[in-house]
Amino acid sequence: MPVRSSANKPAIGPGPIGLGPIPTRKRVTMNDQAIQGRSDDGIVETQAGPRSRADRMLPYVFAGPAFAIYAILVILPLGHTFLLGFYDWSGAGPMTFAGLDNYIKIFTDPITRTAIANNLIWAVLATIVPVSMALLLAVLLATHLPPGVRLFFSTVYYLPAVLALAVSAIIWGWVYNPAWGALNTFLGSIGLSGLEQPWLGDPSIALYSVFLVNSWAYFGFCLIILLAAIQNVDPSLYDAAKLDGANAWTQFWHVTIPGIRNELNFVVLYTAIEAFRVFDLIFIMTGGGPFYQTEVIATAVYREAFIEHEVGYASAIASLMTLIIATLATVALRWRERTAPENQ
Amino acid sequence: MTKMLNLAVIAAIGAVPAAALAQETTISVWDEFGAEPQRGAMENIVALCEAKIPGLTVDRTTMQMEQMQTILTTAIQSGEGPDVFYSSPGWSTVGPLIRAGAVADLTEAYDTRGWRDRVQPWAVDYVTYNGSAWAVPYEAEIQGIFYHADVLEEHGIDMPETYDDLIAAAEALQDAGYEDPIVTAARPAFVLGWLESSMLGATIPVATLEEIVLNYGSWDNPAYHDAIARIAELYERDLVPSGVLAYSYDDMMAEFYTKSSPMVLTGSWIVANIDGNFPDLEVDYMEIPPVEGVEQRAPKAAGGGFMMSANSDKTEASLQFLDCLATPEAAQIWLAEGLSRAPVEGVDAEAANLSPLNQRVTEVVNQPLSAFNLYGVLPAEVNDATWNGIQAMWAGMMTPEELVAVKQDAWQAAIDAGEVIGQ
Repeated sequence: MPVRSSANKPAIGPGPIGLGPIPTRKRVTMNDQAIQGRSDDGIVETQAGPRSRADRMLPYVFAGPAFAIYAILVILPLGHTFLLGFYDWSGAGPMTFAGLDNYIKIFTDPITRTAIANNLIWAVLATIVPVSMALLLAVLLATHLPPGVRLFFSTVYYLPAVLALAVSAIIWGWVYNPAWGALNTFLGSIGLSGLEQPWLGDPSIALYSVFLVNSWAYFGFCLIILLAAIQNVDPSLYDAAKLDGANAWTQFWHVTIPGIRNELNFVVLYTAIEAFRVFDLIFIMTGGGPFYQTEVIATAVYREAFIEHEVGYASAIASLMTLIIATLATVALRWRERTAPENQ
Repeated sequence: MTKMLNLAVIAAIGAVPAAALAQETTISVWDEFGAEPQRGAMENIVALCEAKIPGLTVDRTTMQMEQMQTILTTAIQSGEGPDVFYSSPGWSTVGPLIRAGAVADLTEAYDTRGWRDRVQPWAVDYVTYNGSAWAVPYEAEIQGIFYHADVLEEHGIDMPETYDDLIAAAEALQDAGYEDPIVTAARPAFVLGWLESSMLGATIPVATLEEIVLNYGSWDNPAYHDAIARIAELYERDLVPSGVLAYSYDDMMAEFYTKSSPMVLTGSWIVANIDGNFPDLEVDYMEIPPVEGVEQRAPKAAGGGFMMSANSDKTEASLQFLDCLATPEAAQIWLAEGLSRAPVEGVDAEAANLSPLNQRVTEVVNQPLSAFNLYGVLPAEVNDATWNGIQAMWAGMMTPEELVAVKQDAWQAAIDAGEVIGQ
């Protein structure tokens, strides 16, 4: 509902592909509503006026309990983990202050460096492969199929996401089994035995073999979100684009993508964060091996903390992981705010 | 301070024989025996101990070994841990807990309650670090090769007596159509530790290993180079699966149980499974046979043992429970019903009506000599570096010489950090 303010006239902006001016909406905040009135014609009007101290404090009162819980369950443990990174500690007994040793070791320890590099590869691939697959399929489903068929296929594609990753890992472990796995058996049966591989045992392909399982299990989640977003794009925009002579690619690039930008941003950001949290698939399928070639940050933290009893060092690595994820989230959110339509 | 207090309590009550407790006491016990046949056997052992020690109630919690290793340290550290827990007593696992003072020193109990007469000496040695005994070992294990005797017999292959015989037997099986005559696995990495320990038992005199492990010697010596070269050779000659780096423990055992591979490198913990689920298989056991000049020894281990938390406030009840476990009566139940061997003297293996395989394994376990089980004696980071190094060597990413250097570097770092036995 458009908001008429005594101070702000409705703003006019250019349309996405020359469709003429589109009225932008002013976001109504809780504070705005606290001083809003309604005119006889039903249009909300804002009133300027002083706010009491109690009014100003009200949001903090509401947010306080949630923040306290968040502080106890998230901020304090994070801070404690960060501090543990400055100590040499096995997880039991006395701690020895180690200064920056653990944090420096992250960049000198070849195994941890491998884990970080693998995680970066994983993150880049994860934000490209499953998201692209999901976007492509979502466009095809949304634009070329009747609703019943669309529902069937979207359900089928989403099914792997319903499975626990541990179950997916076990199933794909069987598929990849070098002796009797379905993949090698299939390749052999069609005369491609030369392509048979120890999929999880060859250091050069093991990471990508696991990543394929991750994509299989994850793209359905992206698909559902992007499909819903595409279906919410105003069909008249496509009609207008066609009248302007836009081909399918132009419609996709100038109508679909801007129309689903928020959802796409969310999917990419969420995927990138998840990529740095990946643990269960790798832990079950390869344990980080062979020779640490599928190790990622989370499995390195586990190995250092619970196998090698280097809890201080593991805490330093975990702090780095938190920093990466927090930075990613901040950058993405800031970027989204800057590029949001109401800020243009 | 707590540890000192507990030691004083143990010393003060050490001479007291098992008797009724002064008051009703419930002790918490964490173990990993949640599956048959060990679950039922342990329940019966607990019932036996509760009957023998009036006033004692045992509150058991079972969990898987890896779960136990993950939460035990945290639980003990927070004071919420059990009074008694079952864990691998290997230095890799409990070394950090012992160094942190979280495990009760049971030396006094061993001396005053007669445990030294009841627990087999090799097993006492296994749970003794830095002059103190830390556990009542309850799972005597051996590692080596389990093989399908009928397959070897069918192809006219005698049981190998030397290392060269073993290689010849493997090649004969290969010629007979067994693509992977010996199967092992690389996941989890410690499976390769069984191969390493067994190979060292067959190729390096125990005196040399003692010099390295107990006197901080160097792994960069000809004997260890030779052992690693032989491990490399197994892969180069295709005597183990070419895809072994992708094999999990379960994959490995599937290959063996289906006879795709006639020989498997593992340990005696598979015996209960074979007896229970594959009684028709004609499986037998052998150590990796030795090279010339090395005495035949199997790497034995106390795969698990009961330990007492240093901050337990139910010391007497816990010690009496441990005392009960270390009786022939309890160990007999453990063998006959749990099909597992506690290294306790006076157990009648014949009365337990064991399978031929179990009898054979029990016989080897009861031999006095033992090779080194590296999981038990080296720090975790040294083993981790070595076993992952074997993976790298088999993958062509590391030479045997580089692997030896990696191990030695990790060993020296552990010595410098004061993390090895004796420090």
